[in-house]
Amino acid sequence: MHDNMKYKILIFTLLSAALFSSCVDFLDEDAKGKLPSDEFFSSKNDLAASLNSLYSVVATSQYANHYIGTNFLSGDDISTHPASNKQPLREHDQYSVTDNNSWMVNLWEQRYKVIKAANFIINNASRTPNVSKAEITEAIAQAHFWRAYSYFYLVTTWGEVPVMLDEKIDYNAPLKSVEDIYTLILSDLKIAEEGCPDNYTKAPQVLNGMNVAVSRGAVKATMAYVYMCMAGWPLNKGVEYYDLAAKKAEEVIDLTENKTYYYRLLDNYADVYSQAYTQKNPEIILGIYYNRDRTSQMMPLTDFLLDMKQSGWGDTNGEIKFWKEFPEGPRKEATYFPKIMLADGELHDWWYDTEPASREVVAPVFMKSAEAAGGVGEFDYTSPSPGPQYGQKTGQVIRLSEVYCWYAEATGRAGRVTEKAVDVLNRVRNRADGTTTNLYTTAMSAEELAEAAYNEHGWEIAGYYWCGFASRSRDMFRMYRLKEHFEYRKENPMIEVAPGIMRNEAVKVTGTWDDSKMYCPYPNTDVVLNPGLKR
Amino acid sequence: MNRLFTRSILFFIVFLGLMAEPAAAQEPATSIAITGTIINEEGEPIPGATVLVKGNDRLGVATNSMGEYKLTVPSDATIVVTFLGYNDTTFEVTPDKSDYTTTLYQASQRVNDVVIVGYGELKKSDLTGSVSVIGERSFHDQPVKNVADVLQGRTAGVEVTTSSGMPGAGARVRVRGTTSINKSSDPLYVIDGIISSSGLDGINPQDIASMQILKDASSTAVYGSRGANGVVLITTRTGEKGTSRIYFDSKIGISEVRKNYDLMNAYEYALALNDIKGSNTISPADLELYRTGEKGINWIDLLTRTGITQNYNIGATGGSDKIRYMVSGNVLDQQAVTIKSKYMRYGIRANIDADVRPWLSISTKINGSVLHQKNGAPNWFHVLNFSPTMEMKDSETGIYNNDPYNIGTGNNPYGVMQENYSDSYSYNLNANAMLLFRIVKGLTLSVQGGYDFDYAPSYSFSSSKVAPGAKSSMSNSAALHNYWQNTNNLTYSGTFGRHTLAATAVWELSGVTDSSMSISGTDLSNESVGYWDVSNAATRSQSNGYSESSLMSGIVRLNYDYDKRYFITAAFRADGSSKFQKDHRWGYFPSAAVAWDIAAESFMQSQDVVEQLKLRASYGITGNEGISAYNTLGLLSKTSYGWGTTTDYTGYWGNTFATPDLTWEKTSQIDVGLDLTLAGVNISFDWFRKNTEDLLFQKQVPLYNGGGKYWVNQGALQNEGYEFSLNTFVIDRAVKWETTANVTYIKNEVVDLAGDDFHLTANYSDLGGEMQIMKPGYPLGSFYVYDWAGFDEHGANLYCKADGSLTTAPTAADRIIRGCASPKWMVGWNNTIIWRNLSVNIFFNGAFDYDRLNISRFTTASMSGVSRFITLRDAYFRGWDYVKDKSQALYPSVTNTDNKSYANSTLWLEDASFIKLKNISIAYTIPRHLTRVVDIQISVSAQDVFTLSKYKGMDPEVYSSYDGIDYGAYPVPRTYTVGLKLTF
Repeated sequence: MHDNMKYKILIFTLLSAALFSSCVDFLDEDAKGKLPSDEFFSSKNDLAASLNSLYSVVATSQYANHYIGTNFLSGDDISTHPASNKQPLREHDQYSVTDNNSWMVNLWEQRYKVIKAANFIINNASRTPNVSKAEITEAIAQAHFWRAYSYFYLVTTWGEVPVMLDEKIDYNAPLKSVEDIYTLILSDLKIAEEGCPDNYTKAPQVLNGMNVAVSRGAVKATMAYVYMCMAGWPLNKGVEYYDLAAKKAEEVIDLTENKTYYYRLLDNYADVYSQAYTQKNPEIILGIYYNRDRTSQMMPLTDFLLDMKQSGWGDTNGEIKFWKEFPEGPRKEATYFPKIMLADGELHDWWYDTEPASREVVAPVFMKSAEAAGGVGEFDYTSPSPGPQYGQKTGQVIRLSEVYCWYAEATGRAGRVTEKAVDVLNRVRNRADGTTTNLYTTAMSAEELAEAAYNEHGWEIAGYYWCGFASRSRDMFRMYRLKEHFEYRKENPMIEVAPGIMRNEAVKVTGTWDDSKMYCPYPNTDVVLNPGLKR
Repeated sequence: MNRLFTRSILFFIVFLGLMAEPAAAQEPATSIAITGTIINEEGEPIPGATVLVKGNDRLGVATNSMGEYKLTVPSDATIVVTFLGYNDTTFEVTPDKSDYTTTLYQASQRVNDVVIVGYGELKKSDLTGSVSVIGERSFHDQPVKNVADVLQGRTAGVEVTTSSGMPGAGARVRVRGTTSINKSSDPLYVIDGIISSSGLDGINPQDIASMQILKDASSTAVYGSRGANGVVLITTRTGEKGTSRIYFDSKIGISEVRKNYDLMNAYEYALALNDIKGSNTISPADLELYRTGEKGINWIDLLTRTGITQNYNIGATGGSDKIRYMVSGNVLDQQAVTIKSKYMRYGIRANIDADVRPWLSISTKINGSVLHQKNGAPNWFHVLNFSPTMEMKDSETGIYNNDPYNIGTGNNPYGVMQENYSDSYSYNLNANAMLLFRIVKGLTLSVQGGYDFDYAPSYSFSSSKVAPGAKSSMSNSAALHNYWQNTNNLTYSGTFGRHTLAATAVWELSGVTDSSMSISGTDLSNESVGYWDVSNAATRSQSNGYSESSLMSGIVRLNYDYDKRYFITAAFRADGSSKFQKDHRWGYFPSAAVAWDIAAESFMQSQDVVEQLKLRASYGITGNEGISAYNTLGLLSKTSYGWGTTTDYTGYWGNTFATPDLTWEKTSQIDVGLDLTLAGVNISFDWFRKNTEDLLFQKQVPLYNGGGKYWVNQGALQNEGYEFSLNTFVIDRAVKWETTANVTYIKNEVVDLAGDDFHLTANYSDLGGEMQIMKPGYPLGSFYVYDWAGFDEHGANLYCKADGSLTTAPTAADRIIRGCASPKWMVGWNNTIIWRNLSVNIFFNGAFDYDRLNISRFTTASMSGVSRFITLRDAYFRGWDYVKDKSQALYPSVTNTDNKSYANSTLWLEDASFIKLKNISIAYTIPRHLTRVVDIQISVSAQDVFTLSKYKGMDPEVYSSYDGIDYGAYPVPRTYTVGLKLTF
C-alpha cells in the first residue's frame, strides 16, 4: 500500500515536472512590443514615425550651446568669461581649441547622430508599401536635407571628416576631402530641393501656418549660403559660385514675392526674437521648434552675466568693438540689453564698474535668448526675476532677412550691383533703423555692396549663435577673416565705450596664427578609436 | 508557471492535512520517573537541551534553566540528549537509578559541520572545493539589517563595498574579483535552492541560518552559466525538534553623519565672493547680516539629522520528530541621516519541514515582504556646493531659489526635499516547495518548485515650487517580475567498504518575465493632487514594456572518496539560454577537483595535534549570460518629439546594432588550497587564478557612427589572488574568546580588449572628459588622470606632459594611468568574547591599496562646468589668491584666466585605504532561572564607530558612479543601537 502510493506520487510529480520541458520553443525569443529594424517601414505610420525620430534627433542636436554653439565663439561678435567654468567656450574664443575640449565633442557627435537618423530613412524608407511615391520622396528629401546640413557643419568646423552613408560601424573610416564633402552636400541638397514641398499642409509639419519641417524654400536658402562658403575659403571657387549663390537666393526672393512662399519680414525688429512671435514668425525660413513641456531647449540663462541680478550662467557676452560699430537703432536695442541689472538691483550701463574695478566681465550682454520668468509673456530686462533654465523659443536657423543679405553680398562679390540687391538690403537696414533711411544705393561699388551686406548679416544675427546656420564666425571663416580678428584680440586695445570710459576684452588671446586655427581638432574620443583622424 | 503555482498550493494543502493527523499516544507498559541534569564540559548546566526516549519522540522534555528535567519513561528506555552545537549523547535507564547527570560535549565545529553546496550537501571534511561558511554565530547578536551587512568582512575572498549610506541602498559584492566588464559581476544568490531573481532586499538577516560562498570552479560550475561570479547560498533557519522557542527581539538605533567637509560659512563665502567676483557681489548691508548670522544658509545642517532606526523581530521555532517549523515576522524602519527619507521593511516567513512518510519529506518555505523607500537621498553634490549666501525662497511667491553664484543647473536641494516626494514599494513573495523521495536506500529524488514574485510600484511628485520657472510633474510606474524554477535532482549515495560515492543528476528549467507600465504628467493644474491624478496634468506621457527569458539546464556530478583520505569531484553542466540566438545558445561547463587529507593517513594516527591537513586542487569553467533579453536583436530605438507642441509624437530609428553571433562569456578557474586544523586552530589557505574570455563586452562605437555601444564576445580578464582565514578560540575556559580573521589579496588585470589598445570610460565631459581607462596590463577601475604638478607662478594648475615638461594646458594625450578603484587587500577580524552571561563582539574590516576619485572635493574647490564657485574653506583660505606666501598654497588661483581645472587629475585622486570598526557590541543575558519565564538579553552596540583613512571625503568606501568615483556619494553613518531580546 505504502509502496504503491509512493510510486503514484512519484510518477505524478515526474509528469508535472516534465510538463515544464514540453514547450518546443522554450528558448526562442519573442520580443513583444519591440520593433526589429527589418520589419519597420511597413506602413505609412512607420514612415511618419521615422520623421518624428529624425526631427527629434535634430531638435536634441541643437537644444543647447554645448551641443551646437561652441565654435561660434571665434567670431568677432561674441566672447565669454575669462575664468569661471567657461574653459570649453573660452578655448574657441582664444583660437586654441584642445582635442579634449569637453563641449566640442558634442558638436561632433550630434551632427553625426542627425546623419545616422537621416541615413536610416534614406536607406530604408523606399520599401514602405501602400504609400504614394510622393510621400516617400518627400520623407527621403527631408532626410537628405538634414544630412547635407550636418555635413555642412562638419566641413566648416573640421574640414576633412569621415563620411558615413550607411549604418555600418567603421573603425577605419577615412577622411574625405573638403571638395568631396561639398559635392555630397550639394547632391543631397538637390534631392531635397526637388522632393521637399513649398509648403506643408498637415500637422505636425505645420504649426500656426508655419512650416515646421524643412520646405523647398529652406533648401534653396541653404544652398545659397553653401555656394557662398564654397566660393570662399578654403575652396576659393570665387565668382562662379557667388553667381550660383545669388541665383539660389534670388529664387527664394522671387518665390516669396509671388506668394508661393508665405515669408515676409516682420515690421519691428524687436518682434523677431520675441516670445509673441516665436511660433508664428513668417520671417523664419527654417526653424527648430521647441516646447517646454515636450521637447525644450536650454538657452534662456546662457547670456546673463554671472553678476547680474537675474543670475544666469555667463556663458557668452558681446565683444566690445563689434558692439561699438553696431549701428544704433531698434535692432541694436533688441540685440543687447539696453541696461543690465546687477546684484544691487539697480540698472546700470554694461560698462559700469566699481571704483576700484571689481567686475569680472564688463561687456555688452546679448538679449535674444532670454525668456520671461515662468516662460509666460515677454522678457523684460528691468525685471529682477530669474528666467527658466529650459526655454521654448524657436531655433531660428535661417531667416528671410539673411537671404536678403546673402543675395546682396553674393551679387556684389560676383562683381555686380543691381537695384534688386540694393533694394532687399535696404529692407533689412530700414527695419533695423526703424525708419526708411534707404542707406544703400546703386552708386555703391560691387565691393561696397558686398561688404555692406556682409556687415548687415552680422548685425542681423549677432548674439544668436546657438541655432543660427550662418553665424558671424562662419561668415568670417569663409572670408578668411578670423586671422585678422585673432591679431586684433592679441592686441586688445582699449575702446572708448562712453565719454571718457575705456574698456577692453577680458579674455586674453596669445600665440601666433597658423591656418590650423581655422579648424577644430578632431575629438580625442574618436581619435582613440580611429587613429586615422588626423591632419 | 501557473501550473507550478497551483502545485505549490496543492503541496501545502496536502501537507497541512498531514499535520492534522492525530497523534496516537502510546503508554509504556511499565514506567519509572527519572530526574536529571544536563551539563557541559565545564560543568555548567545546559538549559533547553532536549531529552527524549529513543524510538518515541513524543516522550520528551526540554531542560529548564538549571539544566534539569523530569520525565516518566519506560523502565528499559534509552534516552537521547541533544542540544544544538553539541554531540548527541545516549544512555540507558536502569530500574535502580532515578537521577542521571549527563555531560554533553561540544561538537567540533569544523570537521562535522554540514556544508550546503549547490544541488546537495557535504560534510565540511569531505569538501574538495573552496567554500566559505558564515554561520549564524558570527552575526546573530549584531544589528545587521541586510544580507550584504552579513557578508562584509566576515569571510575571505568576498569583497563587499557599501556604495551608499542611504538606507535600503545596495552594496557591491564581488567574489574573487570582477570577472566581467560590461555585465554584472555580482555573485549568484541562491536561497534555499531557488535562484534569487528579485534581489535580497526582502530577506531578513535574522532568518538566515548560514551562508555558504562557493568560490572555486568545482563548486560554482554546477551553476554553469551563472556561476562565474561566485555563488552565495543562503539557507534559512528551520525549526528544531523538541525545543519550542518564542522570541521577541527589538533594536533601536540612532545614526549620524560621521564626517563632514569643512565648508566656508556664509560670511566667509560672502567675503570670498566679493574678493573674487567683484566687491559689489554682496552688498555691505547683506555682508553685515551674514557676519552676524542673521542671514546665511548652512546646507549641511539643514539637510542632515539624527536618524532613528527601529528593528523588531518576533518568531517561533520548534517541532516534533516529523514536523519542524520556523515562523517569523520582522519590521524594520530606518530613517536616513538626511531629512525626509526613510526605508521600511515588513517581512513574514514560514519554513515548514515534514517527514510525511518514511519515504517522503516535504519542505515548504514562504517569505513575504513589503519594502518601502520613502523619498530619495538629497543631492550631496548640491548640498556641498550650494551657496550659503542666498535667499532660500522668493518671499512673495514662496518659490525656492536657484543658486545665483555656484551651481548652474540644479534645483535648491532643500526645496527639492521639502516640496517633492516619492514612494517606492516592493511587494515580494518567495515560495519554495520541495518533495524529497527516498526511493530505495541511497537513492533520492527531489522535485523542487520555486516562485519569486515582485511587484514594484513607485510614485513621485515634483512641485513647481522647487525653482523659478519649474513645472510640476508626477509619475506612477509599476514593474511586475515573475520568476519560476523547477529543479529535479536524482542523487545516489552509498558506501562500499572504504569507497564512498555520491552521484547527482539534475534537470532544471527556469523562466523570468518582466513587464512594466508607467504614466507621467507635467504641469499640474492643482498640485495638491500630488501623484494621484494624472488627468490633472496638462501634458502626459506613458510607456510600457515586456521582456521574457528562459534557461534550460542539465547537470551531472560525481563525488567519490576513498577512506576519507582521497577525494574526487567531477561535474558537468549544460545550459541553453534564450538570450542568445539559435546557434550560439548552448554553453557547456565542466569541472573537477581532487583533495587529499593527509591527517587521515595511517602514519598520522599516532599524533593528535593535526586533526586535518587537507590539500585541495580544482579546475573548471563557468559562464556569464548576463545580457538582457533581446540584446542581440538590434531593435529600433524610440524617440519623442513635440514638433513645437505639447503633443507627443513617437518616432523610431535604428540607433543600435544587431549582434546575432553573441554567446556566453566564459571563466576558467584554477584553485589550490589547504585546510589545516592544528591544535584547535582552523586555517584555510587558497590560491586561485580566474581567466575570463570572450567577454560580453560593450565596444564603443565611433561618434561618427552615431556613438553608443554594441555587444561583442571579445576581450579577456584575469583575477589572481590569495585567501587566508583563521578561526580559533584564543581563550576557551570560563571566558571564551573566539576570533576569526581573514585576509584576501586580489590582483585584477585586463588581458585583452578585443585587440584594442585601450578603452576610456567614466566620461564627464564638463569636468575633464574620460576619467577611467581599461588597458591590457592594468586592473579594471584604473583611473586616467592628468598628472598634477603644482602651480605656475600665477597660481594656475601645472600638469606634466607626456614628454615630462610642464604645462598649464595639457591635451588629452597627457593623461596617465594612476591608481585603481578596487582594493587589492581586504581584511576582516571578528571577535566574540563570552564570559558567563556577558558577550562582547568587536568586528573590524578594512580595505587597502585602492583609490577614489574625489569629484565632490574637486567641485567644492574648483570653478568647473557644474560648480561656478568654491565652497571648501581651504580652497579659499589656503588657495593661491589668498595666501601671502605662495609656497603655502594648497589650491590653485580662481582668478587666473589660464588656470585649467580637471577633476580627473592626480590632485583629486586619493588613497582610500581604510580600517573601520564596523561593530562593537556588548550583550548581557539574564537567564531564565532568575526571571522564571524568559531569557532576557540586553545589548548596546555601535556600528561604523570610527574609520582610519587618509581619504579627504566623507567616507572612503562609498562612491556614486562608475567605479570608485565619489561625485556626491552618500556616506555610511555611525549608528548606536540598544537592543532587548526575550526568549520564552
